[in-house]
Amino acid sequence: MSNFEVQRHDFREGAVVYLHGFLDAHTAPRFEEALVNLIHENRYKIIVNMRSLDYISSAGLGVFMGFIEEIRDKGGDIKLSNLSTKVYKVFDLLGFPALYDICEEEGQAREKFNL
Amino acid sequence: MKPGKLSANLLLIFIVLLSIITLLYDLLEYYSATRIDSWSYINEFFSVSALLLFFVYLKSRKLFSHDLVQKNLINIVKLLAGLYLVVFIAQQLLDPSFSPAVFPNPPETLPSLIYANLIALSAIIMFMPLLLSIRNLMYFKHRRRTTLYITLVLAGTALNSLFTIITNAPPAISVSLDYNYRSLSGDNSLFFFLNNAVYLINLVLLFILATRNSWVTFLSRRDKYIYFLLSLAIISAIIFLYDFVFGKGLAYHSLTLAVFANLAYFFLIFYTILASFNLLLQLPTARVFERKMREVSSLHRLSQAIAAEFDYNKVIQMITEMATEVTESKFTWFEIKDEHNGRLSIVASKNLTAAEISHFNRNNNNPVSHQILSGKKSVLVNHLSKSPEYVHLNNWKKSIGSFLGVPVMNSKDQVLGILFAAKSENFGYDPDDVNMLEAYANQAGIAIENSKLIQNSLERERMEKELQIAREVQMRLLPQTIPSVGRLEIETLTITAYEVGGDYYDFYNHTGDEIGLIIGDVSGKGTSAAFYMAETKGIIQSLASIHASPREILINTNKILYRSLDRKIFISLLTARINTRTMELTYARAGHCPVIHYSGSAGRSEILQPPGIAVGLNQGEIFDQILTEEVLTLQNGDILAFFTDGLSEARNELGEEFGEERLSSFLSAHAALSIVELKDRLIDEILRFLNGQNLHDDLTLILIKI
Repeated sequence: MSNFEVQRHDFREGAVVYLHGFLDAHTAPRFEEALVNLIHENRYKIIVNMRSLDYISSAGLGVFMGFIEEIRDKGGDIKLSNLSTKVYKVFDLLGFPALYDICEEEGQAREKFNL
Repeated sequence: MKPGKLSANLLLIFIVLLSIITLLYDLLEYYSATRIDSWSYINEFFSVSALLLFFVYLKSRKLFSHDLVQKNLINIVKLLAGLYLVVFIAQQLLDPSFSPAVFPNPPETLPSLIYANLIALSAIIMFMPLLLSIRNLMYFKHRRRTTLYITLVLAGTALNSLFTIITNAPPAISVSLDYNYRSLSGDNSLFFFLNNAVYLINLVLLFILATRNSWVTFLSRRDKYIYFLLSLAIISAIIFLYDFVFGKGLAYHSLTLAVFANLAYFFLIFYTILASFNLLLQLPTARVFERKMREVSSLHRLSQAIAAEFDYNKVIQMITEMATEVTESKFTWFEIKDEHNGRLSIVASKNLTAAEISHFNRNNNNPVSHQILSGKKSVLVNHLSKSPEYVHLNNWKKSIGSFLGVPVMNSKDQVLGILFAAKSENFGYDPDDVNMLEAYANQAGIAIENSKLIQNSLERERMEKELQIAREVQMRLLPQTIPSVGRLEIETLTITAYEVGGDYYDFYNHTGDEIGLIIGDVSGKGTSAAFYMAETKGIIQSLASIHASPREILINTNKILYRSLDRKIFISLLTARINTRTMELTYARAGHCPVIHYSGSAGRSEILQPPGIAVGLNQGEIFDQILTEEVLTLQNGDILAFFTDGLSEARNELGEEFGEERLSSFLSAHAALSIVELKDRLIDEILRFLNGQNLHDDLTLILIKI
């Protein structure tokens, strides 16, 4: 069940993180680790592409919250892209669209970041 | 006096009595030359009786332990010394002389007669326990036929006695050769022959029995030396006793005793010589044997100690300390491999200083360790200062002359760590030490693995316990009764998943025609979720008494909770107020699941999701700005459903979610049912949907019919 994978693609001072599968309490630490690595490398322009993310639980959403302040303080941001309807619904329910920049396509997010 | 002791003393009195009677007769015969016919037979009978009675006496006192080799050996030495002393003093004082003319040789003087009696008594008193002690030694290790041989020898001794009495002559080989067989008549020559034959067989059997000395092997090295030297003294003493057995006194007194003493003497000399020989043979290997014994006992102690100890760290420390004893080393230390990064660090040591340990752990570049780690083989360095490749160890600790490192592995053949032993002197270890420490390390590996398993299961138990506490807290936080407000029909449902979720609901400020309700879900699970839930409940209950508006309550809740919540934690909340007089529902939603409203007049359901973000996500400005309070007019027959995502996200085996739509149409379809029936029907519906799948989150539902 916990089929989850994180991949990343670096662009200069930013990176795109691709999430696959189920992001829940058991797999969240792996996503967290990926974000920690990016911060260590001073890459603060982060795009999370959720094209193949099937499910996100509240623990998965918590990961975003855990880092957003630090990243924004450093002049960066986390932008979300390519959310499936189901995943978007979860974000929307909790009011995330008011807090995060959610883009339809990864390209739009990169444009905003100038990556 | 105990009855056992009483009868034992009676036996002793009996023996003394019998001895006195025979002495009196001897005296009578000596002075008066009167002879009672067949007295010699009566005399033999008395002697045999005395011997057997003494045997029974010894048995009843249980004087000799079976398994204590040392005790038996000391008994033997004492008894022999005693016998030696008695015979020596008696000979000096009484100066016995016997006429060699006839058999048995009659005494020539009165002291000789007394000497004969005395010797006979000591033969009974000393030889019997002596033989019993040796018998215990023989049974140190049970071997086939030992008992059979003993029985045969006893029977043979009885036969020899009988034949000797009949022929009135000893077996030819048992006495000094100068003895003449003058008194032997022709009729007795058959018995004489038989007597010799039985005697010979007896000697052979005694010799075989004398080889039963495996106790020798298990003596310590020191004891082996002591008993070997002692055995030389004993042999000399026994040789001196030759006179006692072959001299003429005993036979005169009693032929049976003479035969018994004679055979016992041979057995004694066989046994002592063979044991002495065995001791001598084992002296060179004593050190190795002792070492092996120590190895076995240290492994035994290790497994014993470990069986009583579950604490992983203590087990490691114990292993390290015992390794010092096992290898007779000055220093030992245990480098444990970190499961995650593979780094080695000293976790336990003996005779290393804290500074040395931290220096070692900081540098962490010990090539010996890496060699052992990759090769999974022991490394022995006997002359460290002459081994340039390991010289860094000398830089680390000056006083190491030689050292030995062995890998400690688990049952899957993975290296858990390395056990090091070191001595100050060069050439401190031989190949045997390597074998020994390896055997020890094997045992240690198993012990470490066991303690880990135990610790894991304890940990799991602790977590289960914690989970149970969290669940109890959660349950206690939920309202225990449903308030009754006007005509409102209220039903609630809580189904908990295996892991404690953060579902929460509560009622507040219920008066005759108004009720407040709150439903929420804390992100995260377990104890922390239960803890935040309690905090939330406290805050809301106190805010509800100040603010009437659901939106105000949520805004203030967010203000307070945002400060104390972990950044990764947020709480979705929905507060609502239902007034049965004004027939209004006022509600605000902070990131929580929508409300489903079934309108009786319209005959359909609507999903209500006003804007709002979850508590804990934003400090205030965005939260307050977005949160919207809505008011809905209700009519009789309307149904409201409040729920958590445990319901909307309940998944079946295909991965489909139950969803709000399904709930919405369910309400529309079954709106006519009473609220209790509606709830039961909904539970059935959910269970049918899940089709055996487990809920992965808590599920909470509040149904209200107007």
